[in-house]
Order: sequence, then C-alpha cells, then structure tokens
Amino acid sequence: MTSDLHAPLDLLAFEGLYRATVGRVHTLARRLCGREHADEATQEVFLRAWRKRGSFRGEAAPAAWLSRLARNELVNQARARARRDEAELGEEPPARLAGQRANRGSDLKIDLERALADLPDGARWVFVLHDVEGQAHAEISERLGISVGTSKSQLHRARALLRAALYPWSEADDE
Amino acid sequence: MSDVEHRGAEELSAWIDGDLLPDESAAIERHVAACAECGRSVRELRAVVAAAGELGVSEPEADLWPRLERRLTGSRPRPWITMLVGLAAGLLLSWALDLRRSTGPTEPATEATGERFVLVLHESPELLADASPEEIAAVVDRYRNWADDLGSRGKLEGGEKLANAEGRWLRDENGTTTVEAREQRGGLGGFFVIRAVDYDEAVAISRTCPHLEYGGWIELRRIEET
Repeated sequence: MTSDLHAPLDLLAFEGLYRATVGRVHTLARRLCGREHADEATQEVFLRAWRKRGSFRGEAAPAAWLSRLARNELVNQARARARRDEAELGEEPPARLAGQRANRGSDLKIDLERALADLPDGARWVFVLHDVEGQAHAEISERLGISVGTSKSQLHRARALLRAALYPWSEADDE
Repeated sequence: MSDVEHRGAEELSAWIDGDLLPDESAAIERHVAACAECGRSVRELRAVVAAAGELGVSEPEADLWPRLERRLTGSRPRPWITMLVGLAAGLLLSWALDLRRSTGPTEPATEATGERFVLVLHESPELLADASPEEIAAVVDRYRNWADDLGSRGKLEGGEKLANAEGRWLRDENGTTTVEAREQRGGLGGFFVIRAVDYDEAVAISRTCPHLEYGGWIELRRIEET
C-alpha cells in the first residue's frame, strides 16, 4: 500500500500511512516527550507531515520518510517543552533513579521502559535515539545541537543510571 | 596502578562502546577480566543496551485519527448546518434539528487548496427582533442554501453558531483572572471558515452571504497556518 504514495498525498493514502506508523510515532513520542504529552506530540507530527506532503517526492519509502520527520519533530518538541519547563520550574537533575525492579525475575524490558521516563531529559533523549532507535552520535549531536563528546557522555550517564535502577541489588553490593 | 579499583558504570559503558583511548581501554579490559564485580557491571550494562534495542512499540490508547483528520482538513463532519442566524433559542433548536435530518452527511474536501479565512459574523441588535416564524424559516433557508452551495464547491471548511445565552468573559487584572458572565446582545453570532486563494476571492464569497442582508456585518480574517 505504501509504495505508490505520491505528492500530493491524498487523504486516503495519508490515513493508510498514519495507521501503519502511528504506533511507532506514538511510542517514540512517549519516550522523548513523556507519556502525558504523547498524544498531542503525535498529532503535531502528522500535521507537519501533512503540510509537508508536497515535499515528499517518493525518493524514500513513505514510512521511512515519516520516521525521519517524526524523529526531528519529536526532538524539537521535547526540547521546546524542556526549555519552557526549565524557565518555569528550574532544572532538577536527579542524581539517581528510583529502583525499578521488585525482584530479579521481573521483565527487564518493562522495567526499562518505566525507568527511562525518570532519566534527565538530555540523557534520556540520547539514550532513546542511540540505544533504542539506533542512531549514530554524529546524527544525534546534530539533531540536539550538542557535541559528539556530550552525546557520548550523556549516553554513558543514562546507561549508568538505568543500570543502577534496574539492578539495585548490585548497587547495594558495590557500596 | 588503578587496576585494583572498581570502575564506574559510565566508564565501563564508554569501554563497551570503544570510546576510550587504546591504553585506557586495555587497562579496563584487564581489570574487568580479573574483577568479578566489574565483570557483573559490564554484563548488566550490556543487558540494558540489549533490552533497549528490543523495546516494543505500542499503539496509542485512543484512536487519534478522527481528531487529526478534522485538523488536517480543517473541517468537521457536518459543521455548517447548525450555522444559523441569531434566533430565539427554542425556535433555533427545532430548525437546526430539521436541517440536520435534511442535509445528511457531507464529505470533507479531500484536496483542499488555497488559504483559509474566517468570517466572523457580528449581528445587529434588532436582527429579526419581531420576525414571524415564516420569516425566520426563510432566513434559515437562505443560510443553509448559501452554505450548501459553498460546500458543494469545496469552499466551505466549517462554521458554528454561537449560543445566544450568557457567555463568559475572562480578563487578567494584576495577575488575577476575573471571570464574568455577560449577556451577548447583537454581538458575535457565529462564524464560517471558508477556503479561498486570496482576500479578493474571500471577499467575493463573503459578499454573497445572506448575513449582510439582515443587517449584520462580517469581519473577514485570513487564518495564519501555524
């Protein structure tokens, strides 16, 4: 269905594209912008895609075109929201995350998804883009307007915080 | 020699990714091979990275498409049928319901062109003050036909009639928001959203709106797409 998506995209084809990709977009929106903003952020992605549909020339698969657009748009939204929040509340980077695992047998992926939400913004964005989305530091640094070195240090910080949250018993042993 | 000290998780993560200089990397490699605790930290970090790569995708809880579709096309399923002149509320309701039945569903224009304009309908205070039911019915018909015609040409995006009852007026006074219930008389009666290539076309369309014939005036504004 997605192969003959021309510019201008008509509404029917666009709905098809929406149905095929909304899960991915919404999931990324939850991870980058936070659960409470995910619906609105997702709508903004598709509104932007609809407005920019004229620039889609079929050089890539529609889903890939939309994924790229979604990543850019969601990162921009997340950063804009963080700037607003920071202006209102001031920054409060947590030194460590709450322990997420009730016991060693619980599902690591479910616990990770929960722990992710508590990461400080910068570390979370880099972790999601690098380890979840598979982006390279070069792309991430450009997208976030930071250096490659900062992107790497944020990633390692995120993993260290997540590991401490997901293996609290190890942390206790270390101390 | 620092080989005997435990390594921080951030450093171990950098080592996993090959971000360290060769001699630093070799030192950590030796340490991790010899130290059970740091070996475990590395395994845990790798497990976190592996889990991240396997995180699933889930659909939004609510279907976002209906609302999105309205925002995409700038239209509502059948908006303008309730766009009537300011009439006594009871009369209005019965006619509006009749109109709903008689017009049926309208498909939103799929490929909208041009810009969107809003016609803000301001009403004259004496509008239809002592009109007979027949006269009011005729007015309702005029609005409906006008909207029907625009809709069939893909020029109408939407419209609503605002209730005649009290509205709420909000204003900020020295940091405190005051809210006042105020009767609306001869003020803002409703709006249409139309599509036109420029102000010239939008004015030409607005000129034909029956609202002008009934003593009301129209404020025409281009919608800035944001």
